[in-house]
Amino acid sequence: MRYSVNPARISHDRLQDEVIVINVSSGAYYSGSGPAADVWTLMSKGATVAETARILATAYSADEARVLADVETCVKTLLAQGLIQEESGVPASNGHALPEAVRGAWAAPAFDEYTDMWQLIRLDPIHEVDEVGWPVPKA
Amino acid sequence: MTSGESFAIAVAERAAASLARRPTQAGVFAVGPFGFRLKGPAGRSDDWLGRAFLPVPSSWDTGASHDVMVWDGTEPGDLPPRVPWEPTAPEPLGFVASHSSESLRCAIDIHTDSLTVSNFATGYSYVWYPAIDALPAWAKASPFRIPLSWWCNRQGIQVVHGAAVGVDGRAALLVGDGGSGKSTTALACALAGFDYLGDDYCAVEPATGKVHMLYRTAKVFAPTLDLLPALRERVENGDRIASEKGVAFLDPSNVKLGRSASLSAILLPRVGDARVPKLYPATRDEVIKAVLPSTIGGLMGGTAATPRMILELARSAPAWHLVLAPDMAAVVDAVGARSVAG
Repeated sequence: MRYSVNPARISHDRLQDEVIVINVSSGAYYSGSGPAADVWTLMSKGATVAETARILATAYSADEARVLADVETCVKTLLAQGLIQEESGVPASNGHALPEAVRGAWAAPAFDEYTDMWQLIRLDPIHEVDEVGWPVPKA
Repeated sequence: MTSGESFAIAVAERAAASLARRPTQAGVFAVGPFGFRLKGPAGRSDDWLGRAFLPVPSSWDTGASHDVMVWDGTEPGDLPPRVPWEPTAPEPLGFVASHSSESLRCAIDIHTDSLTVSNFATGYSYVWYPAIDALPAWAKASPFRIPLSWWCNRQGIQVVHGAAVGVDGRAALLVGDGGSGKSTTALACALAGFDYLGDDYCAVEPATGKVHMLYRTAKVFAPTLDLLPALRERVENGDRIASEKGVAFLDPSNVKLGRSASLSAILLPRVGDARVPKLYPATRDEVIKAVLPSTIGGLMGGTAATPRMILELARSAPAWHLVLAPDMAAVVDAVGARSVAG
């Protein structure tokens, strides 16, 4: 299975070893670095889980079975959060490449998740914020 | 033609027809080197939403690349065309993804009940309000934030939730949640003679390392006026400050207004109780966490360009935590030192 990102609902970019993903549909954003950024880079370009695990195991000199398990967990999370979607029409690529980077030991990819934006946006800037101002709600 | 494109055409026709029936006012303004034109109903001077922007000198050719048309009214000839989306389509952020594309963006602002349609294929944004004269002071102080942020993104500029002040062409950007002390710090610096580039939203241009003024306004709560009493007489809605943010429209007779400056430092203020302010380095990740939530929350998620520009911003200047102290003169000195030295 390959995956894609819906550009109408998800904006994302990577700079060096950091990635930011914004889900306009849910009002949440995610940031990650290192293995998380690498998983995002590969999955968003249409790599399969197996291809991703193979590339990352090589890049991090890590055990491929462990990497595969970590990537599977991460992909389930990305799917559940609506950041990627299953896509049967994505053609197989001749090769997926990662950006040049100094990579340390493999660690399970983890994204920091921020889901409080919708609460911020619903705050009325006049009546529903504390004295310090938007976006701090009244206690 | 998509449903969104058909709607955008109908909105343009309705705006033009409504504005053709009444006196109008127009102006040219700029964000950094990029100019935009604004046209809307002529009314009382404090209802002209162009007041929030620093006028562009007539001698300055900005090559304005975008037009913002604003109108209001709830009579049948003034109401926007019926929206082609489901009532829940703008949820949660107000941006209507289902009827937007790379060159066409639609949004509803739940706070002002306004409609925004930006058509970058034609170079026009249209904004409808039920009644401009009934807008709260804070809305008149920062109008068109959403369409301008979309347009700015197309110029390589990111509007961010933050304040900025400068010295000798070098500026510090102050970012963080409400209540962290951005506005108070920026206004204290402005009153001390710094260039003022904004206290709530500013525009950063990562490729050139510049920060630009977006609004020449300041929004303050009563505690800030207690700390900075010189501002009190400049607040236009001082009689309502118990129930809403005070708003001041600043001009060169009040403070030095800076259009642009080189970004030399990013400061993450927070309220402290020490006798003197303290500065210590902040990480890129801390900068991103200080900038991103309220920026994209306030800009309906931003655009496809937003993640890249936030990432670049976090790398564009040294960052410091600024632990504030009650001694505002010492805070001003600390910001000045970082603005100049980076």
